[in-house]
Amino acid sequence: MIHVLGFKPARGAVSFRQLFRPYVLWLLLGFVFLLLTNAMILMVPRIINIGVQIVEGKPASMDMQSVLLWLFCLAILGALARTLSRRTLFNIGRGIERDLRNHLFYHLSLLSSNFYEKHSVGDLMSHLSNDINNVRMFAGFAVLNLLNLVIIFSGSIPILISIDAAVAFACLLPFLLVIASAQMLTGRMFHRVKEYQASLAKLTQHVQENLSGIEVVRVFHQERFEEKKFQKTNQAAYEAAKRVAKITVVMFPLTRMMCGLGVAVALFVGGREVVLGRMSVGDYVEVNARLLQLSWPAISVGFILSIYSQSCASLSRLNELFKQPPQIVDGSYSDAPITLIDTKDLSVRLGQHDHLALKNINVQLSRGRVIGVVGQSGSGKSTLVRILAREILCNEGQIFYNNVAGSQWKLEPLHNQIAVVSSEPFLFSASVRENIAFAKTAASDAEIIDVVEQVGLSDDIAGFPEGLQTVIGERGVMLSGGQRQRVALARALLVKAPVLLLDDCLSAVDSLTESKIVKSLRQKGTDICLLIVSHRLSAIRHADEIVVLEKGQIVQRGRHEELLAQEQLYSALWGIEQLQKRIKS
Amino acid sequence: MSDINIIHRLWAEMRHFYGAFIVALLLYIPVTLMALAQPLIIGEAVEKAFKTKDLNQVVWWASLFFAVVIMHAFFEMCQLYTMRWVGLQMVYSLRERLFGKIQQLSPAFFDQTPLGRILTRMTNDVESLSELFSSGAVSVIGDMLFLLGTLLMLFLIDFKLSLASLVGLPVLASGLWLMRQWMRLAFFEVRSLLSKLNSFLQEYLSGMQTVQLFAQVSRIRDQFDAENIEYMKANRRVILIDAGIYAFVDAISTITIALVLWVGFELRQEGLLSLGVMVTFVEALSRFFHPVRELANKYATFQSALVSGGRIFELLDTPTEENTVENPVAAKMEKSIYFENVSFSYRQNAAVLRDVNFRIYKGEKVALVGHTGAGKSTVTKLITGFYQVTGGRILFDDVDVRQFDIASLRSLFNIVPQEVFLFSGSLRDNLRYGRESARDEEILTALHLCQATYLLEKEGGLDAQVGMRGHHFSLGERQLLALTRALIADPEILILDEATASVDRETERRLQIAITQVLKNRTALIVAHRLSTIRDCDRILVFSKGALIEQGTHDFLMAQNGNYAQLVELQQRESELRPI
Repeated sequence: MIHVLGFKPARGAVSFRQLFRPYVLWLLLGFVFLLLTNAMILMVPRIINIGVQIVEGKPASMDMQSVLLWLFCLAILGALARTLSRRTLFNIGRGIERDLRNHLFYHLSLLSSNFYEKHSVGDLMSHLSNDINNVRMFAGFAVLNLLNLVIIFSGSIPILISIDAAVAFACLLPFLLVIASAQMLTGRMFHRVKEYQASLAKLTQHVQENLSGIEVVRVFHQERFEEKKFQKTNQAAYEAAKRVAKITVVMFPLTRMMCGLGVAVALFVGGREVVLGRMSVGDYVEVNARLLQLSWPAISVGFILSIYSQSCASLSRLNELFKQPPQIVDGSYSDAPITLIDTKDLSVRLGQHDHLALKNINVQLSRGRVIGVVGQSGSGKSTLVRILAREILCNEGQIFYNNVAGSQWKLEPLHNQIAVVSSEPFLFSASVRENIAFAKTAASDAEIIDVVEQVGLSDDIAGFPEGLQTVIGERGVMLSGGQRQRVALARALLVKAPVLLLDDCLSAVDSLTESKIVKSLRQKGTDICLLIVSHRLSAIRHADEIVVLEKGQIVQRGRHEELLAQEQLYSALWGIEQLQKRIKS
Repeated sequence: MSDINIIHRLWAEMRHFYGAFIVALLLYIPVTLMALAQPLIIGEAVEKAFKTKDLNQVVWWASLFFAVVIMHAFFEMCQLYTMRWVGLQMVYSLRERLFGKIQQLSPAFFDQTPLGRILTRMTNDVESLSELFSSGAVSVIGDMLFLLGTLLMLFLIDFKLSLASLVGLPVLASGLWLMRQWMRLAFFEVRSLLSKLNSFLQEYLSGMQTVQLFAQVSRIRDQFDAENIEYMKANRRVILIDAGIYAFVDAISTITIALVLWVGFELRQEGLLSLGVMVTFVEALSRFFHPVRELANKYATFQSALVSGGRIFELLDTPTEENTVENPVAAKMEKSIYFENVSFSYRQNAAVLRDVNFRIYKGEKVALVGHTGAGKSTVTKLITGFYQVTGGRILFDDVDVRQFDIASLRSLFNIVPQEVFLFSGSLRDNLRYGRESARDEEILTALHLCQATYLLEKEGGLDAQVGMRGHHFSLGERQLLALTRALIADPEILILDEATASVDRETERRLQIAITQVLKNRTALIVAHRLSTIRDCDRILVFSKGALIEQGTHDFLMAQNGNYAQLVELQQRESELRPI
């Protein structure tokens, strides 16, 4: 019921106020329920008081039957109000959790590869679950207990004073100590918990490194040595945990003791009043019951404080993520189909490298033409493809789609029209069919079968246990490298995009099959812009233009025969390829 | 693994801390007694002091109460600390055992298990198990003791009034039992939805670029929100049940006190009850229900601790890489290593080596050449016992490699891999990785021989840290260090997997010198990429698609003008193209 009100995702940092805003009404309602709950709870000791007075044989304001009826009604109504208040307030926490998680996912979906290269998914994930959890704990648990604390104290104190002011002040004194000591301990606790978390992070890192180098350990037979090394890390985590335990172990009994001392004081001061005839036994029992009611809220102060400080830290960590601006910003232009892609003096620097990955690149893709790109590894071929697909940005120069600068384009229609296939494609752990239809979920069987045939997967799929419905495992582990590449190609072909960029996407397929697939692509796709990167020259020798890259620069361009005649890099690569073919055959 | 089994295993795991655990359990007795004394004292005070109107009595009972409260806190601290200590010890020893276990698992295990999963066992699962001792289930024993103690005390004081207070209990028990069933279902759902949500995040965050490039962002976002809402709804069911349990226990508590008042009233009218007893009952019952309320939460931590425990024991039970025979012999190689009709496949139907026959004599340097996937590195993995042959045998002198004790087999070798892995720690630790006893002078000599002393100067001595995975060093420098490490270890047989990546000329020159040093007077198996290294070898084995197709010296093979000669030509041409 609450989720219809959900928080609207927006850019930038979020504050608690923003998070709570959609739930103000629910917060109010929860508060009212909580008031009701406490009203009933606060009545119970008074009724018990009357009951005791009746049992004692003293004149009372009602008879035993009324007492029983009252208690019974208060029990039932109190339970109802209690359920409603807890439900309403805790639900807010879960609602905020969902909003925050949505918001985060939304934000992450705007960030591009430069972000994902710096942040590992594992880190993001652990960040996500812990930090969002902390915020949720604050929004639900802490808020409820805080409100409860305020209500029950402000309700109890006047009643206690009305019974006997001296007794009230005396026995409330230890409660002040509870709150003071809780505050003191939580401050220390917070530091120690942080230290403990740091020691755990170190332990994780240690194990991670060991796992990555496990083969080395085995080869060198250093298992014992590694175990000894681990002992130190393990010991440090143990010590840190012990330091935390020392506080928690003290905190609970201590706060409980303070509440107990309140009861002791009540016995001392209140007992005196009873003996002196200034207070009835019933009143004394009532005071005790009220003190007992205050003890849990008093103990919860420590929890509330620590949850609050943790959630603040968590929210600021999350805000670090929210503040990461998306590198590629959405424009407003869109147009279909794309028939011309033009680059003007593109230069690209990747990450912190001091050399340029691409330098002064000018290429033109147009409808009906096939561009081939070759070069050795590290020459910048994949970077060129990523630039053309607007997956990364260039540092200098410009790129135009249909003569409109890339920065002006709306991203969704742009991506919709450019299909990219890389040599190490990412597949999802779903069925073959779902993977192929990833960008066109409504595709018909006939369409799917058509692309499957085009990429030469029909025989492979016939051999799968459940055909197209076979689930291919995490990142497609159940498939061979060549099968993965062809599924990814089929996925791209299915959308029939006007631009198709193939980045050595058949490197794990044998050269004959590659040539066959490329040939059929050329024949079928006469009305698209096609760019093929391949480490096999045979696959691109028929291209309308071949671009030869070396160290990020175009060193040769032209048709196959022209390039061969120039006797430069291209012809040398061609020679090597021919030699390789001879060795293999 | 069933719950009972896991508990049994946990109990066995605690054997070193039985003493402390029993002390912690025994400490529940004074804690409980001190808790039970409190309502009793109040009742007595009402009866003795209030009735007689004796102020001295008031002081006396109040002081006693004061003392009891302090002792209660003291015993509770001791109890909590001891129990927590047991938990921390458990965590420590489980982590140690798990780590030790990981060091011994077979390579096949790592091929199949994602590292993240192993990591989770060592961190989250161990933590969750330790909750048993910190916030959770073990304290149920103390709670039970308190509840039973309270009931016993009440029965001893007044039988009829106790019966009145018991009337609510069957209702409470059956209500809790019912709600626990709902709770279990709801929890189960929450847990499975959470793991679904997490794998969704894991997958789509990893594949975000693909999602973006195919313009599927908004579809995936909607899908995520759908999962998110499901999870939220499941959690809200848990909230409702939890709130219900809380409120239910509260209601029963109030009703029980009402019943006691009523029966007390009746008994009192017949003159069968003192006011003090009545007050004791009211006080005791007000304290009785708080632990009951917590039972549901504790049950939940208990459940998730058991799940984690099951996973931990499963990892601990994974068979380790073991000697294949019962009485293994110590490995040695005095004359030769012989591959006799060796075949191997990682999976069925995909042979990586086929009927390979060759012999390596002691002191010989043999190069393995061939394309990627030809089977070169498989040869090195079989010879070091990482995998077992699936056909034929490997003989050291005349003994099958499977007869050897695996540790002694490994100690014959030292490996210099393509991608050298250094562990974070000092340079010294890394250099004597193969021989811990190496003295500093030996290390320095080896560094000098391998022309690697400059690295020492650059980093500032043997105590310099190498960084995570040795990232302070370049690839070539790491290889240089690995060669030095091998020289220090001084193994019988060296396996050298040359790096294909290009390094600068200066490092290349140093590497050549280091390689010559390390190979001196040693049996060596070299997966070679540099022509210069290959030429210096005594013999060259040429592999293609898992078969040994040619072997002989460089000159012999060149004269044959077969596959090897072509490979050499190819390499020559490629090295000419290689950008420098």
